[in-house]
Amino acid sequence: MIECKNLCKNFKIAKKEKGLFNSIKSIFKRKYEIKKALDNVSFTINDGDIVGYLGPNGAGKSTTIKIMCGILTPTSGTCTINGKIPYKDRTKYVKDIGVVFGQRSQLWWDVPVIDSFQLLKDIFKISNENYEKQLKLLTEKLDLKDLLHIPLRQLSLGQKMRCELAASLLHNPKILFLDEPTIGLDATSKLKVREFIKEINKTLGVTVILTTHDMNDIEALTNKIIIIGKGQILYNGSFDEIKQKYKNNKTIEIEFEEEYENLNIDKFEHIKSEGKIQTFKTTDENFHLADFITELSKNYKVIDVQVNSISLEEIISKMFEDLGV
Amino acid sequence: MRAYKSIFKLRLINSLQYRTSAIAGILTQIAFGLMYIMLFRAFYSQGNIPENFTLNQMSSYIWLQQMFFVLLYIGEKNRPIVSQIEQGNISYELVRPLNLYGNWYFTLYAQKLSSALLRFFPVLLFSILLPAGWGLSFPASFPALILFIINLIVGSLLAVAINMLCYCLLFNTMSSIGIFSILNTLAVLFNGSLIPIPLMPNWFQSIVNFLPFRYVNDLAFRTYVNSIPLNEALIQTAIQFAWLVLIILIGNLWMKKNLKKVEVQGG
Repeated sequence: MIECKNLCKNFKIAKKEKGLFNSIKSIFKRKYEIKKALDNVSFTINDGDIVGYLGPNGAGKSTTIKIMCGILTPTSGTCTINGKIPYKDRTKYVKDIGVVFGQRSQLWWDVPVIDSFQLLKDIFKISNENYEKQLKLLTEKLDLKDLLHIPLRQLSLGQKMRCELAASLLHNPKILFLDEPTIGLDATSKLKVREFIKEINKTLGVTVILTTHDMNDIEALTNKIIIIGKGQILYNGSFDEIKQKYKNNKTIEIEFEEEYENLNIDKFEHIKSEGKIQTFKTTDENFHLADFITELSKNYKVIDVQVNSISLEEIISKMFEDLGV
Repeated sequence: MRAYKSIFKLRLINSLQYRTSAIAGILTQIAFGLMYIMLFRAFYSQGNIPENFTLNQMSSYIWLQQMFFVLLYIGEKNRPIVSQIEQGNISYELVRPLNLYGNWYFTLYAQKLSSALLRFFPVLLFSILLPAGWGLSFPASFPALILFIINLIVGSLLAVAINMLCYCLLFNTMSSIGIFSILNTLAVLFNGSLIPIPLMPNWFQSIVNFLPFRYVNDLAFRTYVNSIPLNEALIQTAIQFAWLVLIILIGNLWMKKNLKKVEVQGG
């Protein structure tokens, strides 16, 4: 169980003003600015959950993850994970967690992957038996057999990420933190990574906390999401609820035979016009496509109609907008 | 402890593969050794030879210096560690159940030892083949040799401990430009790498004796050439140990303080 209560984290940032004079002045006297990266963040996560942690860039996602990993100490507030305080008993606590930072690497650049694994085995004091068992499982699930004896620098990004995931799970942690695990991966690799995360959650019962900008990750993996913006929690709940709320947002693209100006259709908002193609938006719950086309063809010559549901990406960005991020 | 042993082993194996750099290093060390000896011989030919530092002792001292140059070098900049601090990859080091100081200490030591192992033997071979007054003489006595080995090991550990302070400081400055070269300059000046300590003026020697730097290399070499009598060398070995413990302690506390304040931004 993960419990964060009123977490705050302030960063002190040296303020730089432009110009030579100010630069010289700042050698003697620095001005600092306090930036609130986290402002009263509280949430709980239950064992066995897969939780998506979302927010725009700079919202405080990574900061929260780093506090939960014991890397950063919060300015105030508490974070208790399975009865331990990460940043206080770091060396004891980190045995229970696995971490993947999508933009960094935990494996050694110029040695074969298996050597890095061997080192992790000793660092985490994994017994031979458990190590063999877990390695076999991970090799199978992530299809690593051919990669283990190649130095990391010769692997592709997708292969590397699979190795990183394996590395983070060698010591059989109870909690897995994934900070943008699919960043930069191609479609196939993304699918593989997602499938794997789902599977270890199911078979090993690992709690997964995931940050990402890829909404498909969220849709495929998580049911619970936490949205953060400007250091504050904006939403904490099920993903379906959000989808339900924005489900009725539809856009309709209509291609006409000729160009019209000032099109006005009841209950529809005109949002875009590109020559003969016009786009409308509706939030009408009782919207029927057939009626709409009938109504439309009475007055206009319609060639083609295309209805698009609002994408997840748009839902989230709409949410950010609604919540004022 | 097993974890540190593995780190040490892997780093050692990893850096033993750099042969070309080792060959270049050996040639540099030999060239420098010959140059220094020619230089000091020129001074010696003018008379004024200190009692506890004869021509033979001087040439042995210089060769020992060249032989263990990398092992006792202070101010080494380990690129991966520096970039961990500067770029934030330190995040990963912190999610390991390890003391970060210990982790880095063994990493640095392994790197030192591997470079030293590759370089030391050829220089040794070359220097014992040279005639007396130019080359390396045998140790003054068997006890002197034993004490020399102890001083050498403790000295190399001390070199890494001093170096670690730089990495601690790096947490505050965030830029590695300068720190390492300043430390190296100070070390070279105060540990006799530039001018052997027995050749320094007395007032300067008393400053040098007060600082930890000469316990890294000078003590071991002078035990070997018997420039310091054995009983005196024993006392100094105790001081050497004390410096080692003290500096490791300071480094650990400093690191702990740093980690409380560490900020990793972005990504």
